[in-house]
Amino acid sequence: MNESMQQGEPAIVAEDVYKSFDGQHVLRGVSLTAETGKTMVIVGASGSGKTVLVSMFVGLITPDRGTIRVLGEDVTPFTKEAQWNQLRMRIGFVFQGAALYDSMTIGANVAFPLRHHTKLSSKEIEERVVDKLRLVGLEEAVDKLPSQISGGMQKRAGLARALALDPDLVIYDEPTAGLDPLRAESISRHIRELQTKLGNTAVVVTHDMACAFIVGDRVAFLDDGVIAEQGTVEELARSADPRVRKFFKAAECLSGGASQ
Amino acid sequence: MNGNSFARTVGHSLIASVRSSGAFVLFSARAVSASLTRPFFFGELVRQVYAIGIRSLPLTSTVGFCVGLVFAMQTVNQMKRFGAASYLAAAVGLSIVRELGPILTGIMVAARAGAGIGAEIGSMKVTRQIDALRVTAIDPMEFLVATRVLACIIVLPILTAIADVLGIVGGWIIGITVGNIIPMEYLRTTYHFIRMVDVFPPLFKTLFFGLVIGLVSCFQGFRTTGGTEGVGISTTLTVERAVLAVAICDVFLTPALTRLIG
Repeated sequence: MNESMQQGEPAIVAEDVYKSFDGQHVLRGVSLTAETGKTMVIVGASGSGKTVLVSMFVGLITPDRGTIRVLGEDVTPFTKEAQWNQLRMRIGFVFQGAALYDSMTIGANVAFPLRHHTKLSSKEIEERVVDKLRLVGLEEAVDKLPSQISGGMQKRAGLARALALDPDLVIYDEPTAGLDPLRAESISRHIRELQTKLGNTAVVVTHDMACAFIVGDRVAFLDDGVIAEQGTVEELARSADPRVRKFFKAAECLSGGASQ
Repeated sequence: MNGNSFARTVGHSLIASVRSSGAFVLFSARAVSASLTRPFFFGELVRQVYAIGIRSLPLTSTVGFCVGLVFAMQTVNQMKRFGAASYLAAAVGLSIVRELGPILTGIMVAARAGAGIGAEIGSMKVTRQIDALRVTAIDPMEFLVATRVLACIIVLPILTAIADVLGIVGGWIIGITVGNIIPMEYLRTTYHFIRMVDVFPPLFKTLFFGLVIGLVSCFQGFRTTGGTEGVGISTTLTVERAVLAVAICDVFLTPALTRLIG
């Protein structure tokens, strides 16, 4: 863990964050804290600004207002890519569509950050790649191209790539989107197991309540650009807030409908 | 359309053009700076030299040869009429090395490599692979843009030189078969008339063709939005603009280099 991070300091602290695009307000004063070593799940309907919020934690989007601290560093004044790059090496980001480099094999995708940011030998990189792929159960796909594997496997490969540099913080953007319920559950369990095994901080953005129940230590409900409520999954399930109740009820209906 | 809305449409187009030009200038400045500073992605540069250079070679060489052949066919009978068939070598050689070789190679690379770069970067943009590079702490300007721009700059003069030689060979074949010129005599005339000053300034010009092809193609790729349809639109625009950029560059560079070098 980096020296700039005080003992017990949260991995992410966002305070009063605002963002709008072309006059359309997406975030209207979001405040959120993700505790170190825990999994924070941000749930909310599609278009509620979840992805925009986590994109700010890695500098892909800049907030209009508010402050953000990531892994002990105040990133609010960062304006250049170079300022972000040191921090980005400590963060793994798993994209919704995996975003694997399609001209490279799965092995080369996982090796990519290692080749550019470490002084490891080719043999050591190869070993590390196999280790990371084994973690997500993909060691047999090392020589395959992204187009030759299924969507679920691509997500796991994206996860292996995000873990390549042993990050302190892993951000998952809709890790179960587009997957069938069985694969979605399997990915969610993978995320939970990895977090328990590696002990890093995870932030998971999802609209899939089943995923939130499996992976989340704490859940924040984002609605209409603000955090409507946050707490443990159980606390949120008992919430009196009508917006939260409506969302949970819709999710229950869906999972109930699916199981019938 | 009434006068008001016409003025508004023209105004919007003008503002969009100025914005786009400004963005291109900023993009180019960042790309040039990324090309000159560390880190250098040598492996990716080699891959691009192969993809842009070696893979364009069959096309540029064949077209260079055919142009030499056809140009000689068109010229030989005119020259014969004036009893100047022996000067065919000079006419073909000078036309090819001074203008036809560089501009045709530039246009072909703009079309072929421009489409390749625009489509590749465009699809990387819409599938968030460029964001993936950024969150991996790799600057896309260094990894994607600098390598492709440098590759274009490196391969253009080489492809042009090869196209020039093959164009002269094409003229030589017509010269000795249709013009009845002695083979060695044709080559001697070529050697006698084509001076270094005819060869190197046009090759130097192709460095700029490479620069603009690389910059325009990467810029268009980075501006891609939407899904596969966006990639298609962006690829078409890339080819159109890269070819146009080469032609405009040629118009300005040719007289400038002539004035400078003679």
